Amino acid sequence: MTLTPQNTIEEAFKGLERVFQSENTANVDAVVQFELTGAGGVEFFATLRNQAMKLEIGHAPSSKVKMSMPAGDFLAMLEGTLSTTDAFTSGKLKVGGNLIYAMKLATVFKFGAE
Amino acid sequence: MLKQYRLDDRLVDALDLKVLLISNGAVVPDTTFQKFASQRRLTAPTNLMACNCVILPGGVAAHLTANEDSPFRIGVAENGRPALEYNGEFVTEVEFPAYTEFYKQSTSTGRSFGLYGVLEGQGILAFHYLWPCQFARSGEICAFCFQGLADVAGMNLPSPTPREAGEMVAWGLRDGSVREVQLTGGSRFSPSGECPQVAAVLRGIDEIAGIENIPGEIYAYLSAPALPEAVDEVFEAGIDRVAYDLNLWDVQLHAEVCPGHARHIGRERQLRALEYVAGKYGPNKACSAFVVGLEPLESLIEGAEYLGRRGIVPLLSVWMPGVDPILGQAHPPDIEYYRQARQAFAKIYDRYQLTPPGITAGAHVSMCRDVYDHLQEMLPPSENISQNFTRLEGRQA
Repeated sequence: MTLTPQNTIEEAFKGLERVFQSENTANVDAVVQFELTGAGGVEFFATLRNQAMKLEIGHAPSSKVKMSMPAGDFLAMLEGTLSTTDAFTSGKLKVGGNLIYAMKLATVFKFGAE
Repeated sequence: MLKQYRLDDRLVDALDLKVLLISNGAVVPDTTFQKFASQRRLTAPTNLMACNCVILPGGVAAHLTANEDSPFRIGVAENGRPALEYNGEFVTEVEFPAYTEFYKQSTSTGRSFGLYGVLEGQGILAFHYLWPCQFARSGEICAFCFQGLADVAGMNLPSPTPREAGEMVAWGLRDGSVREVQLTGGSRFSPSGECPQVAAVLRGIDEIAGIENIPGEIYAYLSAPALPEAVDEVFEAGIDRVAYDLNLWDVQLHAEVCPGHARHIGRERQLRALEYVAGKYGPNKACSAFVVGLEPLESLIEGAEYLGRRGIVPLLSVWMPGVDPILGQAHPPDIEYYRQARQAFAKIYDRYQLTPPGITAGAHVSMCRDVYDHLQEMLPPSENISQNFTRLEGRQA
């Protein structure tokens, strides 16, 4: 399947809803900007507040954490075919903003099985 | 003498700056990274596994977490050197550690060195996560622990084999980027704790790199084993000293912050294990870190004094706040808390002739070596009586 921004959004939103761990967000009040690059590249952001997540297409006016990654790799991470460990350690996933917050987000989005 | 710097209306020294940097992180602009990454040891701040540090004046190494919300920023001074800024004002020139290609290396299994260990300060190779933490995986993570978040997140970071650990030490010794070695693994439930695994790693390091070739010390942070003598295997394998971290002295607060340790190990076992090491191997051979900033100063100092009197070295690790408040605190205490803590620890080191580990700038998030290196400045003049203080360095400690 050739990735387009449209199907990246559909798969990413569906996947993020699946891996979101609301029980780990008690003290989280943040906007996370996702910048997916390459084929199917698209920008969207997640607002995490009151233990809920709202996903919107586009660029947030401000964000606590920015995550940048090729779109295909991001979807693979959501599906569990690319392990979080490999995504972090290979440098495919780049993180900006407040990295103290970003470490916490690793527990908020429980990506695919290792 | 530690120089004073102005942050708005406050005067601070390099140790204060270290605490503030650990607590707040700093903005590390891409321009700073681009300018220095090819000349000094500086990992891309976009890498969540990056372990960076700056060397503050006086040789004080401070952990550097990239944080765009921080009032601190690492910029470039007019003379082209790295500079620490606060709210847009120049504070002082800083330095990054010497350049190394350590993170470009792989072990014989093809895994990157950076997966297994990080370089801290000016020459510490720290294996922070030799194996997963069973306490974290069972939902009883220590509230301040960032390493354990990987387990909570379900990540599966690989563990080095003893041979791989040896290869990394050997490379670092040849390169000059490694002068001392720290071993830490996640806590394990077995009665002998992590001792057999640490002993195996030590044997791997000795076989490949030769422990005697490490100019500084090799030390391990372990969970206290149920059988105190389990640690004998670790000393036989060549460790210089071991630490069983109490983290907080107040037992009730400790149980809240470190539920796994409190439930599965407990204070009595920790102290028994520490006193076993101090009794069998002598003063300075057992250490125990406190996470400074979480409990009242009085109980922290009481705990440090208790250990010091028994020849056990109390260590000061600075609490790095995360997202979740701990004991209702989301922010670290005022800098005055840390000043009083470091002065109290200086008195204890002086009074009981204790030497914290390290021959270089010390670890990023620990203040004990800084306190020791500036001991006479830490002590009030009336108590500065150690005319005959004998400094112990490296392997002799």
